[in-house]
Amino acid sequence: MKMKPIFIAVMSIAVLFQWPAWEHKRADDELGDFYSRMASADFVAARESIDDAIRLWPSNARYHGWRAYWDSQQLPSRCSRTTQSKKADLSSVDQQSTEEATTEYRSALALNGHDAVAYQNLGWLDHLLGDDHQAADAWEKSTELDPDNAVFHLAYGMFLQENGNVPLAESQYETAIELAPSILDSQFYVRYRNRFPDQASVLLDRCVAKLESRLQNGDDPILDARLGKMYFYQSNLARAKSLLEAAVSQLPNLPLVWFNLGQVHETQGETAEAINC
Amino acid sequence: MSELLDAGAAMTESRLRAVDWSVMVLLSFDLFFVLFSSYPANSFRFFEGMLLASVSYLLTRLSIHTPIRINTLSGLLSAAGLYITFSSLSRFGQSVQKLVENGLTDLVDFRAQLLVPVRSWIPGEGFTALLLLLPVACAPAAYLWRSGRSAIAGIAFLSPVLILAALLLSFSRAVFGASVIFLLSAIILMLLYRVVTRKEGAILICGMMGCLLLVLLCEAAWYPNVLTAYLGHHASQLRSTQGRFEIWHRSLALVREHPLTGVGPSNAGLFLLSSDSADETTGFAGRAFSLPIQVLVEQGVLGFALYSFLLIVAALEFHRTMRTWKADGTHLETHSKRKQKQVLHTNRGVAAQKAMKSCFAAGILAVLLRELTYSSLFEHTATLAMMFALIALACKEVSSAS
Repeated sequence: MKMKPIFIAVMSIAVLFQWPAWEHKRADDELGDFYSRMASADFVAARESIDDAIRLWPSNARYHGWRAYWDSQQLPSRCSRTTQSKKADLSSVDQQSTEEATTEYRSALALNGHDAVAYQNLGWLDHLLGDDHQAADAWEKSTELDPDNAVFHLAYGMFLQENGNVPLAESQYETAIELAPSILDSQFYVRYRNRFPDQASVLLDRCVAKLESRLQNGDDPILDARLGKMYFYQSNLARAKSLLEAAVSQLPNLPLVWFNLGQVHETQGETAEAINC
Repeated sequence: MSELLDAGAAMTESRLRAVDWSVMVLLSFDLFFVLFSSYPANSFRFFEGMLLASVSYLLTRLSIHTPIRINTLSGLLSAAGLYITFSSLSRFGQSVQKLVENGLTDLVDFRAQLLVPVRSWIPGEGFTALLLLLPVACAPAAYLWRSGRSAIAGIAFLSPVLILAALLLSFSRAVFGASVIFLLSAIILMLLYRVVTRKEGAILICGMMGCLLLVLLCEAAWYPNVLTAYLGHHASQLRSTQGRFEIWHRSLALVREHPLTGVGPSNAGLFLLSSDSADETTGFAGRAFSLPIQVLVEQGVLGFALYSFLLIVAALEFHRTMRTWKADGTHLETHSKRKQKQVLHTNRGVAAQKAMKSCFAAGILAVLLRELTYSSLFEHTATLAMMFALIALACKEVSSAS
């Protein structure tokens, strides 16, 4: 068989494919436009951009996810659900936004069932709408898909604690802190420690013990860095310093470790070393 | 006689050979994923890339016939390679200066952010693109040298040397290894197919390795830690190796879950997010970090077999076109040694084309070697199209035109 007819056939298919490819490119441009509109807080124009992107490429899960994000941005920043009522106290506009966001996240997940962020956000929305069973499923799925994401464990833990499942909640917090000890500086942990000082202390001790035992299996600069941060929080400055120094000597490209080491120096009154870090 | 030979070569060229069929079968196989994949939106983009790569392959096969065309194409592509090289090197210098000013002289740990080409201009992964451009830059120099124009060849050789200089600043052992393999295998292929004599081959090997060492020493004099970077003793390098093993372990578990057709092209990142293993601190993995494993994960055993088949038939086609010389309708190897020498001497054009083809084949080998521990070839249409164009160039018939 001759090559020319095959080339013409392949070229024709390529030309035909340019139409959907062009539509997809336009859809991506609309997504780019959506990002910049959101950054400049022009929400009306952002909505138009993301709707156009979905119209141009309806099978792209990412666009549905961002559309859902847009809807959820209309909601108040704090969860209005109380322990007395199962459903959050939402205005009709907020209720509609929540339902629309939920629908969009479900569309995104129907197209791409491996979107851990979509599951995590859906968890919050289901929780707001009072469907805790679906919310728990969504959070479980998000932590299963991306077990190294500390935020997912933290959110799931908060939900479990609100529902009275304290042991499981603490286990989720523990995983989150082990993965990202910076959580110790977060508003969440400050409030948690104020409300439950003993549990917070036990939780941190457990994390430290776990990481210490993992370190005994072999040196790992990432574990050094995490443990160093925890010791710093516990005011064990000498141990924190040695661990953080071990981490930066092995992996000097990690900015957060330098920052934490700087904090240790600062606490010890070594201002010059702190600035150097 | 010469026109007749050219016409014969062109006829063979226009007929579909096993390697061409293999590319077509692969394209049809990838069309399947546009409809049936774990997430077809990602696979659509991959198919789009494959389609353009097939067009680039067929276009190269059909239109880049004569040495002058191959050299023109190579010249244009190596100009692009030089642009990437200069933009990368200037950014490298700026990044190093910033680090050194802050007392950070161990550059190896910062390698990921040091040599970044202008992203808006180069769509492919920087080092993969440069590795693909290295044989293309080398081919005109090899052609000119074997054609007897040594002085111009020397000037043309500056282009691959500069690209090599950028590649050696990658601080990546795989990129370094691939560069060495490229130089060695190009010369070995030239030796095997009698483009050069054993003596010339030995001188070439020494010369190339010397050139490589000289570039490395010059860079070491300019920047700290260049030489020690390739010993692999840094913690970040050990972690990088360890992390790869963990990701491959995760990937093979995925292959076991989706053995036949995989999870679909460009979907590996979705399935490899992270691991719940308590012993791992590798974290997020957006890629399989090995092309063969990526193919297995994304396109299953079936896809892996088809890609392997393409490489095997391409190697056979390369061997056939290198072995057969149609000047008098017989194989070069059937001549006596004396006549072989005479033939090689009198027809420099053929040897020059074979030298170019050796560079292209060595380039494919080098990129595939690097891709054993990385997976960037399929990520961008440009690198995919360039790889397919290289396959087409390596499988070209050798004509008597010079």
